[in-house]
Amino acid sequence: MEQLDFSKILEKIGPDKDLTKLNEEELLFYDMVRAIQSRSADDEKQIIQQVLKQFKNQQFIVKTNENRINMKSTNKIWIGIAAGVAILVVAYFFLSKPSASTDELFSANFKPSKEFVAKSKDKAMSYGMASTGTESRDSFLKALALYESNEYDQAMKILGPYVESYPTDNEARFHLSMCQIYREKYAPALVNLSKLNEVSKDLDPNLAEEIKYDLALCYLKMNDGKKQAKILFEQLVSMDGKHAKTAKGILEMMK
Amino acid sequence: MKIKTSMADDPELLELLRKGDSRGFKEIYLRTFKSVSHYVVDNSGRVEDAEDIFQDSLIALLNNIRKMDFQLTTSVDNYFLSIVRNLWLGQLKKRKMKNVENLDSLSEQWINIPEEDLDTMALENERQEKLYKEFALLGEDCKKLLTGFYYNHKSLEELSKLMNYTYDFIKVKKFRCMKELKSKLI
Repeated sequence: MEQLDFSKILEKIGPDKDLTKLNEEELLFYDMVRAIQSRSADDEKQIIQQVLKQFKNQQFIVKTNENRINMKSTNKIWIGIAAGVAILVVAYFFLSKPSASTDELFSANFKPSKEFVAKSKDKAMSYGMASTGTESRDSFLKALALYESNEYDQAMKILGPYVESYPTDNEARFHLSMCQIYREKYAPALVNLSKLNEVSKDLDPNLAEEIKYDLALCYLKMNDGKKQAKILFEQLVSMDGKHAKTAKGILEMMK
Repeated sequence: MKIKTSMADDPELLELLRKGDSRGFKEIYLRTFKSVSHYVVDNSGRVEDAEDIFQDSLIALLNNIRKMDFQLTTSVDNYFLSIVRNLWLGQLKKRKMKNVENLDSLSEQWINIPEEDLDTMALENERQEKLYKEFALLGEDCKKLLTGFYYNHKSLEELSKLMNYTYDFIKVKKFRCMKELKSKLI
């Protein structure tokens, strides 16, 4: 197997990729290398996606700050012209605050949380799955591994039926909703996160906060969801947890 | 290595891209994405399609420039836009779209890129699909080694230096990794 040379195999099959020209061992070797290349390309594509997403968000923030600076400069000119203190104050108050569309706010702030994967794994391994059986536990663990390696489509395929079978597994439902948001399936994600938010008192406070935050972001993607999103972001600010600062910033941008 | 926004020299940009450096991805995005987006949207696509085709084209570009015998006969931008054009035409053919307009409006200097050089690494059979999944479960060293050799087109000498192993060890290691992957099929 190791003596085979992939470039020679490519030469052999030609541009039409006529695999019938290969013997069994060469064909297996070809499949292996193609799979390695495909997997590596997908991994690199995910890195590219993340880099560009972050880059676009950075550009968006820079643009917003530039707007703020420009607006402040404009305000100074207004003072020079002495158009009136009252007008200036009002203009400054309204114009100097950056604003953003709900879509932009969502894109700049949503990231599937990986924080609870380890805990979910531990729970599944120890006592949490005692009533569900080994097969279900294994499939749940596999879904978490896929989720962890950013394979949200594959993870969603397992988590969907799993949550249907075990509707009280809150961690599974949370990870399913993250996959759904990532894959732009906002409506089902909203349903799942709302269900979780309703039982938030029974959950780990950190998970409960994360659920509220993601639910708020999810509302930003819904028609007429802005009002509900604002309520949730306000709740997050008053909770004063991990997402309080971001929630405050988003509320500022939503004004 | 410093890189000024939209002003990096082509050799410098190529080097960043070869290494998979995020600054290279950003640079090519800044230089070309607007053109890619206009082109795709003007030719029966959506902005989301433009993003997809941009990423696929970038993977194809990386694949090509990492090959030992690669020689660039035009600017990186032109070469990249030629890939975009070819891949988007392929997409349109797949979708059986008709009445496409402005198909030559993306770049003034088209480069003819052979179809076999535009491999987007799509898997063709079930065995590959299975191997695709199993590859992710190999040890980190194996993944790094096989990715480096078969995807990044690095030589065993380069990999031995990069991974801090002797050449002989890397050679044996590669054999073992391939054997392990093969065993997953049984």
